[in-house]
Amino acid sequence: MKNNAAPLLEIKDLSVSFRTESGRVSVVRDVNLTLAAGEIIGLVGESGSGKSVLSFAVMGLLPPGSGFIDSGEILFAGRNLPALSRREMSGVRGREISMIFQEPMTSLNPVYSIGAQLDEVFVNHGDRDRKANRKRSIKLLERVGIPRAAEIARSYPHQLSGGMRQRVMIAMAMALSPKLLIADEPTTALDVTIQAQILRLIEQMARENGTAVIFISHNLGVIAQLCDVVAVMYSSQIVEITGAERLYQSPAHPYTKSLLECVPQIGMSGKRLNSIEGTVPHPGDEISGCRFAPRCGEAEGRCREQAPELRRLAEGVCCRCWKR
Amino acid sequence: MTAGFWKKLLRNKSALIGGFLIAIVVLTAVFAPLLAPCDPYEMHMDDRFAAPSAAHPMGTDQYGRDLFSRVIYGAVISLQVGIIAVGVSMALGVFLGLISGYFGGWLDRAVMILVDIFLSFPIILLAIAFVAVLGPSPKNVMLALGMIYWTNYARTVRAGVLAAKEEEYVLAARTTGAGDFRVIFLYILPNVMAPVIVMATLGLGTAIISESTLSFLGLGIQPPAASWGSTLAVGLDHLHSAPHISIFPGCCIMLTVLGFNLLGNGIRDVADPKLSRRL
Repeated sequence: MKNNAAPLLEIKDLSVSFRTESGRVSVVRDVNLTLAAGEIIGLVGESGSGKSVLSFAVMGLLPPGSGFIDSGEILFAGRNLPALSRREMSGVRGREISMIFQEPMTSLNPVYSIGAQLDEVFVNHGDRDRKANRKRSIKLLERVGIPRAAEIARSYPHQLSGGMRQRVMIAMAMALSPKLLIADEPTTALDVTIQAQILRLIEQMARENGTAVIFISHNLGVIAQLCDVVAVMYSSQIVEITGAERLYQSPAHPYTKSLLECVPQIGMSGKRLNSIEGTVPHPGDEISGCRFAPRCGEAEGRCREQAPELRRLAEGVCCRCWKR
Repeated sequence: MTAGFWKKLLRNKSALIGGFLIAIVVLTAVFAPLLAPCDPYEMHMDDRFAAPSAAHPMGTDQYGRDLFSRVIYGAVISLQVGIIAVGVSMALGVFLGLISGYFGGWLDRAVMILVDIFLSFPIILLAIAFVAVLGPSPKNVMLALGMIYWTNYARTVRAGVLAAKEEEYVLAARTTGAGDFRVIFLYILPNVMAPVIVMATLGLGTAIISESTLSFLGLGIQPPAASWGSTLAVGLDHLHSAPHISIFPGCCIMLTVLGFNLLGNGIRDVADPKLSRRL
């Protein structure tokens, strides 16, 4: 998946913080990430590691008044997104970048029919021909594998199952063939058989449209199935960026290693499942050394004193660790 | 509103009785010229203070005007004042509640301070002050009542917006590129309307009482217009000799307000079962 053209998305030294009653809390620290057109990148990390905040920063949907981009740039197709006006950003959302959420049960407006909500996407971007919009909506529903699409377009969210609703959300996100899709744990709330279908659908839609995908998950199995590249986040930083296969064969960062050891495997009966000692530091805690050092088995003097940078180890592999 | 909503509403006794009372008042108001046996403004000086009889079912007032006809025309005034006052306060309150809840910040603080200022006055005092400044006329009564009762709508809607704007479907709408005003009016407003409809129905009753109160105090609808409140006030002077002048408009006010309250309660029970225990 190497692409020498200018990347579609380039996040440079991005730091995001939240204003809370006890002062500023940094939730994303110095994140650098590039994504080529058509590439699928997985973003893994524990709850609270900053994955979702990162995606909201890209969407320009940090909670107004409390979430701030402190520094850095988000270059999307040559434009710095945080510098765009509210109106310009509304034009980008949906048309060029769209998003799917974790909870399909609550991501649809209960008071409008499925079709009306899909039509809205076209209306938001200036197409007001109602009949044509509805035709496009029905076609979209067919594309995401919804049977009796015309009938479903007239039904309301509560009449559909979770899997169906997530299909509708995907249809909505893909309506205008965006260049970038952010999928924030889109399969977490679904049962396993539906999960596989939805994953396949996201992959198929992305490949057909040439859409790049940021796939956020804490499920390493899902990431392996779908992604080209994986970025691992720990306590508001990216600690490793590597190829999806390489992640399993030779994880570089101690955190990634321990994360993999926590995944149960068939045939490991009788062995205790590993867990990582200690807890994730609070995002606001300023730690002088490596943020993982307190839980790291390999940590030594320097790890606790100096913060490591994200360094390039090999072609396509970056790691934030002194010991590599 | 779906068909299921209407079916449930028809099965709700409170809503049914309330709706029935309101229907009578509305039909009376609409067909007032047809229903009234006499001209409500025509005086018969030889027939003053007549007790209820076949010719005058509710008797006559101090100028010999047919009270039944005046009460029928009073329904027009009461409904008109109620609907317009509620319309003004609802439009104002819902709009301010929406923008203050959605945008937050200084706008929110400013609106809420305004609400607190309005709520710190006794309502009837505020109404009297408004009408005293604007001058007593039907238009000003409606305006004054509208300017007073918006605070409830603003607060309720703001609270609803605060909850609704965190909903994922609102976030999802924004990710598809919906602008602020589209999000507010298309995604948030319909989801906060249920309590507003209930409040508006109950508010109609309150507005009618307030109009009657203002008219009773001589600040509302001015004679010779046949407002229930002003007729009631006139009757007060003759309560011992001709109590029917006060009793009939009083009953009309009571039954109309009761009707709106019953209907409002019924709608609340049907529209939002969670709400009925809280209020």
